[in-house]
Amino acid sequence: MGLFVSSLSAQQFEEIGPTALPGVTTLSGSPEVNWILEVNGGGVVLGDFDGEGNLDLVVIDGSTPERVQASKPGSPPRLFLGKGDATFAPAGKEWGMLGARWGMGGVAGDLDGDGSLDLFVTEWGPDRVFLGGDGLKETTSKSGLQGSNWGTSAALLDFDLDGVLDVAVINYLEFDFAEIASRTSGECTWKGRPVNCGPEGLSAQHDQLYRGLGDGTFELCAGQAFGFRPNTAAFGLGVVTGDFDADGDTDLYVTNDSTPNHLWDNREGDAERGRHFENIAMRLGVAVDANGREQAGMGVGCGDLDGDSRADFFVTNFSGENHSLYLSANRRSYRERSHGAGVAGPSRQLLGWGAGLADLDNDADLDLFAFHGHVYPESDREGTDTSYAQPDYWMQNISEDGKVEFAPQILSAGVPTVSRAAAFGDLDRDGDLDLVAIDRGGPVRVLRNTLSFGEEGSWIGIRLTDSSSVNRAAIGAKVELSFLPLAGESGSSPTRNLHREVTATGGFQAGLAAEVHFGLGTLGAPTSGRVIWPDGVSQPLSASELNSAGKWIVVTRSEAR
Amino acid sequence: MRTLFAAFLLLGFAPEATWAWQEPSGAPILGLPSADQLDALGLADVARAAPGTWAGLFVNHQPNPERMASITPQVARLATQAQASFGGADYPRCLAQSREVLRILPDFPPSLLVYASAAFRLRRYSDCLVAMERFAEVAPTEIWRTQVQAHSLYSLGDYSGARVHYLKVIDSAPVPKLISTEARRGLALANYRLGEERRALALLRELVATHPNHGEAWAWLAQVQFDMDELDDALVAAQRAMDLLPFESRPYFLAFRISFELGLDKESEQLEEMWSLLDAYVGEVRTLRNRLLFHPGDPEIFRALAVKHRDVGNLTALAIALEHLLQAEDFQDPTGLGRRIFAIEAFRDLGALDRARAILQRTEVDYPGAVGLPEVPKRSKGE
Repeated sequence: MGLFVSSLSAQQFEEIGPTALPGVTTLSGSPEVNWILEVNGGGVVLGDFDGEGNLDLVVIDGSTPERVQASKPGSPPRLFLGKGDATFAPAGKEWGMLGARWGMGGVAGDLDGDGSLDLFVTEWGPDRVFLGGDGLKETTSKSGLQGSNWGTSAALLDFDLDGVLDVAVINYLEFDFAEIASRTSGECTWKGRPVNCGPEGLSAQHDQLYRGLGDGTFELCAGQAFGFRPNTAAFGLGVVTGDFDADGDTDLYVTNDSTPNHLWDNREGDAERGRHFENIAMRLGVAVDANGREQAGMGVGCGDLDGDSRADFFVTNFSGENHSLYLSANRRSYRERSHGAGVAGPSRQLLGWGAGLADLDNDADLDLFAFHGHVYPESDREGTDTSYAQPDYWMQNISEDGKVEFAPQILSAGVPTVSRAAAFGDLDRDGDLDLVAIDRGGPVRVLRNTLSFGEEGSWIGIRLTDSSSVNRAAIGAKVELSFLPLAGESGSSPTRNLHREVTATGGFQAGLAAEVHFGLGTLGAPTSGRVIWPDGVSQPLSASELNSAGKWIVVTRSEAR
Repeated sequence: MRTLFAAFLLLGFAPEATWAWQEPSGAPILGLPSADQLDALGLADVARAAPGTWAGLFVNHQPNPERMASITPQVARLATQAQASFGGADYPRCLAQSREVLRILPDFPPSLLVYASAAFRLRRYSDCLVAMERFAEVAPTEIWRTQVQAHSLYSLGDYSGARVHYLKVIDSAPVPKLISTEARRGLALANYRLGEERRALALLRELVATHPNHGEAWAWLAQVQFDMDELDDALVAAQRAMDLLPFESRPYFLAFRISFELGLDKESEQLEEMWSLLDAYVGEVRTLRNRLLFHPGDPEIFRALAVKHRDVGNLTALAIALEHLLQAEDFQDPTGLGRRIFAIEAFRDLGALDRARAILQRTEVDYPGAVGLPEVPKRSKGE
């Protein structure tokens, strides 16, 4: 495959999976991938489960058709405790979890307000809840979760602003071994070759919204009253959260395979109708590509790329399509700027999964990353112009003078892989963001960022804590830092601002640690800053907090809800 | 692409009737390649010609008749079959046939062109590039015929390479009238993909000035103007594209998005609704056409296409699909009668009564005693 990827920064990320997680591998069917169920691979969730300050890692694992057909459980989710140097150790027995049917993804947050991290797992089968404390205990049977779908990704958000985390489960399609043809049937072809069938021709499943009750249980927000139900179900794969319209509540953006993506606008409601969601993706230009065509919609990341304080979206797609970059524009809408920004061309031969926006070089702007790997092993056959194992890359933000632009950089000097879910976080707590990814039916990859800082303390990391809320980590809160303009900068704005929003939702089958990271580049120390808590209360950062460059700090809510 | 193929025809390939027919020696692949055979259609292991083999084949951009006459009849026949396969949209067979010609007659330029064109249609862009690179080596005076190379570079995401090659194609055209609109449009789009919106805009404006009925060019003009926030002009261009391409969804999508940003909410909602209806049709047609790539001539796919076109009233596309359907019919197929009846009814409803009558008469002969044949009005005096 001809890829137009610079190798200048090939060594910024060091692949340390074999030492970080020795012998850890995952299960996702057979190498032949006879059914679409075997395609997605497992999930990754980052979070400080044991409260020791380092990021721990949950590997969500799958199963095989043979195990399912023999009514044997799939591989269990596994927690690995971070040592603080981007390596991990298996957690003790108290953290052990059993396997269910076929795990997919997950997300972690404090669902019951006890100050410890809980885990939500999506499955092909009933989704699952594990409450934390002195270990993880499964409470699925009394959690209020309903149905048995194919959940791929999950989002944590406090959509109704009651201080309790709610969950949105993104569902894919109705899968039954007895009803869906196998690759070997020859019923489905790609580029003239038999491949596994779907999603076209199969039945999509509606996503689900659960209201958290504050004790780790949920009630399903069913029916049209909550709006979270389009007329036609879509093949949901990825999700991100954020206050995309800056109206003080959390919205959702869902990427759908071969069907239009959804942008769920969280609306306050009125006397006639309570708080509800409305899908405005088509109207705002983020449902389909610039030509009006639906894409494969796999992974997704969001953040402010163009400095207008509004979220932009990065979506990974199928080979032959291109990854999509939707930048905010007029009338709250978006324009697909994938090509002009340099994102499209390098992605044309790649099939993307785990993706995100993160400041990977600590220069105070957000970069992109994407992990790749085809869904069909047949892509290694002649004449496909793609391949099964593919390179992963990050796209360095090189925007200048208001023009958003990226330069692709290879993520790993190693051989190409068949990657799937991915998450970012500062695994070694050294102030740069590392990456972790799952190979389909293979090892867990850890890519340690070896960035060396030209200037001491060119970053700040912040965790929030609000002991007056069940949502202790303040998921949905915003953190803003303000800086004096750089020498030579002009314009009406006297300051430059950086924004981050606390989220635990990591795109495709991934969960992020609920903390924010700011690369500071050459901006120096912030002159002011504030936290806007999920209920809208603004809290200025103290002088000592502002002078914490080079540290991870905890900012505590000073005024109770 | 159509222009490229027409250019190949200009090579003056002798009609089959003028070649003394002999069975080709060996066992060339003439049938539709199986899924496994698709793996063996690249050119990597096909030998190259000795340097200079094809020097002088082209004189004043036309093939030298003496050189063409030296090609053995069996090879010429295979090359002609490949050409016919391409014309019949049987691209897998065309690829296999032209590859076989190239195996027997390495780097034969006309077959490199046909191979590259079929590979492009099958989205085997890298294979197309290999053929085109070989063509450029053996026929350096004929670069103007290789726009498919630029199309492939573009499809692989190499927009810089595509731009360079489109310029080569345009600059090397023997006369301006041989510069294809596809190359000009491709050059504009490569610039657009590279973020050179102003250059793209200028090229598209030139294109619609010389080809005011080029609907695709108008749609791209609307797209570029939309991206540049020239919303009023973009809406005009999108509306022109809608007029020229009434069954394409993209112009409606652009008009819907532009109208929304102009604050024309009511118009935007109406356009969104129209786009949504057309998008479903276009998506279904695209799926069927993709199936045809590897199942060329499948009458059931043509019938399904005809149904889609009929349902939205796309009469031009319906007539084409019906013609393909009839060409593809298999008289031994017991389901053929149903397709005949469908075609008679569809042509009748189109108002193509002569065509409907002709098929009805043929059907009465081919399926004696068939029941349920549709009625077609007799020819009237004024008809």
